[in-house]
Amino acid sequence: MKKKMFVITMALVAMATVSCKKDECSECHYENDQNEEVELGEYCGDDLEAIEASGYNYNGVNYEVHCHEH
Amino acid sequence: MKYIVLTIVSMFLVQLSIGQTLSGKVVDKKTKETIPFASVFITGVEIGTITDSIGNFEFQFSLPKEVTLRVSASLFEAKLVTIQSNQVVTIELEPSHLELDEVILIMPTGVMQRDNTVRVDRLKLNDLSTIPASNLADAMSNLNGVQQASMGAGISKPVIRGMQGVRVLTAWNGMRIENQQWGADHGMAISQLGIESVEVIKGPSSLLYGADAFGGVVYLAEEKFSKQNAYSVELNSKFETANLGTTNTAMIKFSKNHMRFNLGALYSNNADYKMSNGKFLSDSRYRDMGMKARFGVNKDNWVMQVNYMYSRSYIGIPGHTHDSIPNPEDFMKTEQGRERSIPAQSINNHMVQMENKFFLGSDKIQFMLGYTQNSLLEYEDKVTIPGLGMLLRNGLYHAQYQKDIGSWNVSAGLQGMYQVNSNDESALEQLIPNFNQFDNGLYVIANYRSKSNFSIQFGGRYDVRVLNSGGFTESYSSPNFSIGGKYFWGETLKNTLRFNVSSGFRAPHVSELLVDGVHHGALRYEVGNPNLKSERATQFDVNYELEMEHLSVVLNPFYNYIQNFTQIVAQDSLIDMMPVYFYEQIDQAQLYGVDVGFHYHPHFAHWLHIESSYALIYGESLSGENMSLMPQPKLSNLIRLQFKKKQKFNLDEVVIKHAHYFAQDRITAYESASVAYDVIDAGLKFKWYMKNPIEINLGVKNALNAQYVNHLSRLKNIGVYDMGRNFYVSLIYQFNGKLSK
Repeated sequence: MKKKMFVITMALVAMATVSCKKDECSECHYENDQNEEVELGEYCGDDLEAIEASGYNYNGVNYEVHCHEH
Repeated sequence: MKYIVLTIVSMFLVQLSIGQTLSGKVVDKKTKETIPFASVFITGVEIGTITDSIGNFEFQFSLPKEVTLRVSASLFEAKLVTIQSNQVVTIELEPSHLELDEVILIMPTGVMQRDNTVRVDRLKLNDLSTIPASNLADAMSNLNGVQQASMGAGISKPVIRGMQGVRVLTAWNGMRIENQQWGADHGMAISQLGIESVEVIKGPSSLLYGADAFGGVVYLAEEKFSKQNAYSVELNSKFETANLGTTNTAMIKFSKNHMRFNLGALYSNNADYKMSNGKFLSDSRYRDMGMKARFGVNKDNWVMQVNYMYSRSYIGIPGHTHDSIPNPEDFMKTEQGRERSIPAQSINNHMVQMENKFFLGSDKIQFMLGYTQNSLLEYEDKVTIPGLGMLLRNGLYHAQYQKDIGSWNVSAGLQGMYQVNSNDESALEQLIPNFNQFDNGLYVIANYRSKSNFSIQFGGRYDVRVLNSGGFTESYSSPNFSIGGKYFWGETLKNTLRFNVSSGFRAPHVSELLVDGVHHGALRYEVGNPNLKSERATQFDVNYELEMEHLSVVLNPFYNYIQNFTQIVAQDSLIDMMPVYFYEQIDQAQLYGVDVGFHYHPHFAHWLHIESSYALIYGESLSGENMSLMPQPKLSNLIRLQFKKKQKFNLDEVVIKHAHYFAQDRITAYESASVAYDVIDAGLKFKWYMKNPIEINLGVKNALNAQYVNHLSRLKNIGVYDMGRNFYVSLIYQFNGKLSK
């Protein structure tokens, strides 16, 4: 009985705390001056955060980046 | 002086340290035969036991000098008995084939529903297992007069007699929950995990719960601890086809001597749901994770409980658009998605509560301290950078003294909350400013119960709120009162008449005073009004119940007069492609209507229950202008067939539910009318009677695949539908055992 209770309690704790936040990845793109979507590929984790925050620089022009389909 | 204080403290400690034990038996009042497996529960101390095969029970540790027992058994009328412990008692129960009466927890004194002067609607969540609810608000919509306002399947909140959001106060074990409920797209902060019952007071109840208990109070009661020196484990798994949703919960309970412990966890993962047209509503996916821990200890005249809850949700926001005239097809997909996407809300809640009770003879002192924290991040255009982010923290306290004086019970208390809201600096926008507010309320309530047939309750309260936000500082205060009475007469035809007059007070919320920006979740641009006054309400409520041999009937008309009613009104303009809404007030408004219900349960067909209820509400200014978002009148019908155990794998119950929503055309400008529709649910409960039984429920919701959208749905104006036909199956496995003393 004790073993059963221990296993169940651990399963509960595991269920409650398993939240391994694996790095989030998204496909990103920007709109160029011709309003065309330019794909930038997949970005993950800190790179994803950075490109969303600072945008993408192409030929001296900084474009706002959108990741994930809206 | 030192010696006087020492003497008083010593007398107090002596009172606390005098512990008693208790044993006895439960018998049938008519035949005097013992009743096996009756439940004997000590209210306030929160420990219970079951009588053995010859009707005996015993509590094996020290108890307060005076205790109140709730004693119940199948086919008998439940009873509350206040006795002195340290004795052997015989408790007699009256045979009854109607449903068990319960102790009402929402009131400060633990009374049975039938003895309460205020009509309280109560729901046990286990009773819904044959057709399980999707969430708490969905469960509460089974109560007459309560509906839900939803935004897809993951966002839902209760609507009580037309009131929702900041006008409905939700209390968890008596502690107020705050989770930015002012937002139309902000659901309830709590799941069904570990919740045993929901009690609802419909109408203003500021006497009991202070400011914001304006439209009603929802009281969520935790599951009880395991019976003494025993453990139990319950595992619950559910699957639904419409959103390929899985919900798994586990609850483990220990109770040994003076200490008890409950631990629970939940995980739910749901894809976009399928509508009746076969397409999927994009961004209606959501996932929830939660855990609960509950600890209790008692020693002599002292009881302490600590409750903790944590929840984390990632909820899609369906219907998000920047188009002023949205195309419904943009939100309907042919493929069903489940992965995290935007727009979505990421919500984290922590709640902790510590309660101490001291029993001093027939007096009781309670202290409660609590803390809740709600973090809300809304992701709209960026995956990692929130469009909106807020952290809401609340410190709560409640001190109460109760005294029994003959037929009177008097409660007096001080209750308050300190709240701080902070905006996330990394968020792209800010909808409401940072603020702090401090609420305090002082109250006195008196109850009188005569030995014959009537009881009365009356009380008064004074609340003060001080609000600070940047350069804006304002205080709001109000007295409140409640007076009510109950009269019971008749033997064969049992009549109960309740009459209550109660007041409510609601100070304007920061979101109504100072908002200025796009609220993406609500699909509008909102402009606040710093000159708003406090709302005040006075409700007259009459409740008549008739109980016959096979039939019970309830008739409950009500009238609510409201001053300074705040509402958000659409303007004929756009900002950032969003429709503009202003906060305005109606000087005088009224809400009135009726709740009616009956329950047929004949002796000659003891397996049959037929229940029907009807709720109607009108909301308008005194000059006749309609109020917005009034629920559709609703007729609910339920047939329940309960079968005895005849074989090892047994069909225990069949339930068929029908809800007819009448058309709603009492609307405001810029609000659209809603058509009538019907929804039918059906479910079967099987039980596999092994040593530890397994319960299997399967059925279908919206069996006719009706295409509808409720009048209170936030998605109504973009032309998408609520969930289509939804098959489900759930398994509940429970086992328990004894622990050595």
